[in-house]
Amino acid sequence: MWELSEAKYDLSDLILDRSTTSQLLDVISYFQNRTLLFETWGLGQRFPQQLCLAVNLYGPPGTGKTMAAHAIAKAISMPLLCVDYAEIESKYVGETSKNLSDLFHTAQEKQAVIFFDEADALLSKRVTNMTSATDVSVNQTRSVLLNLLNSYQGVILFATNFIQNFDAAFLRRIKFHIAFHLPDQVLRERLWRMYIPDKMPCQADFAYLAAAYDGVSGSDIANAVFSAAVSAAREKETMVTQPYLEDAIQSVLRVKQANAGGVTVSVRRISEEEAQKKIGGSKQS
Amino acid sequence: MILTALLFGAAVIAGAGIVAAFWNDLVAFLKKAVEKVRAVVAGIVYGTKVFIRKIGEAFKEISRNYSKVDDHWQETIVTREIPASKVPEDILARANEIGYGQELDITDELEMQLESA
Repeated sequence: MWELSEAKYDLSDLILDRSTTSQLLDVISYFQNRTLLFETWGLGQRFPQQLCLAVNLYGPPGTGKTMAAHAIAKAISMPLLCVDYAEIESKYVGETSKNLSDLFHTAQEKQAVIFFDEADALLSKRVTNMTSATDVSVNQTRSVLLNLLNSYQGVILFATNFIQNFDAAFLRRIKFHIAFHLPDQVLRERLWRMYIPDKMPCQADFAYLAAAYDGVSGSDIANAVFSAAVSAAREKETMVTQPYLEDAIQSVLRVKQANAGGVTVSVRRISEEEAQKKIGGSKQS
Repeated sequence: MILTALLFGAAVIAGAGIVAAFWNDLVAFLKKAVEKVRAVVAGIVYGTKVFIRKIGEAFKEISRNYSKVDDHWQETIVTREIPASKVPEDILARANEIGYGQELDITDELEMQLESA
């Protein structure tokens, strides 16, 4: 049921800010120096339950979380077992938990890194006021996953755009939480340069593109380069020039804004008490 | 908390330069956020609190919107990233001061701006 894949990217493929890069290197260091840390330096005496390395990569879409998961796997020389929540979830009661157990067992056996993309579907808050069989099933799945994380001795990576939705119990069990951000101007320029292939004739002012178009992710820049190349080829140009790249990135931005209004949204239910504290007796509008 | 009526009823915040631009841009974002909340939760949106948080080289504007659906309260969080260059210096300094990942509550300041607009 579960297919292993080789990591496609390594750390040199990532263009990230210093803080994110440093945290990724910490994760790799943690894995590579376990004997030094837990035996030679005795961390095992103070932190006995550290057999599982769980890492949460969170941040806006297109900022490199999936690439980073591959890069971690490559750096620690392990294959990846990429999991979609749809593959885990079953309409039959109890089957979802069984699938999860099977997944962890397979990963342990094959010495693979488990990678859950869109992990909020799996790690979101448990239902406190259960009113349906679905609520019971959701909570049962969460409990099984918590138990699996407690006993698992391998590496597990989660990626999400919505860390706000995570259940606190999962947050506690995940050792590293690494934030991914939209690139700043300097990183954007590097991304523009990186995504233009060496062989592609191109005449563009990357510094200008980086300065003029902020709020874009690495993935947006990659898409823009691709679209610009296709348009230039269609027009039988001999090279991809600035107007093509600008048209393409503007188009990417338009789609993005139309889709989300440039914002991320998450919803959580709060108690009457918390609500009263927050709204402080204000009148209804 | 900023009441929804105040948010939608306020005039443009006067002034020039980065400060007025920041507040007016923030109001536009909050209005959009409330509309989004209305679309998502299909309930009455009572009001909004607004925070700013440093994340790497940029900042995140966070609106926490309070609504009631079928007798249950909900908090809908709408966020967006803005570059540091768009944040006024005093807010920038305070956000830097409170530390990475911490949220600076700027609700009262925005409320004052809206009331005087």
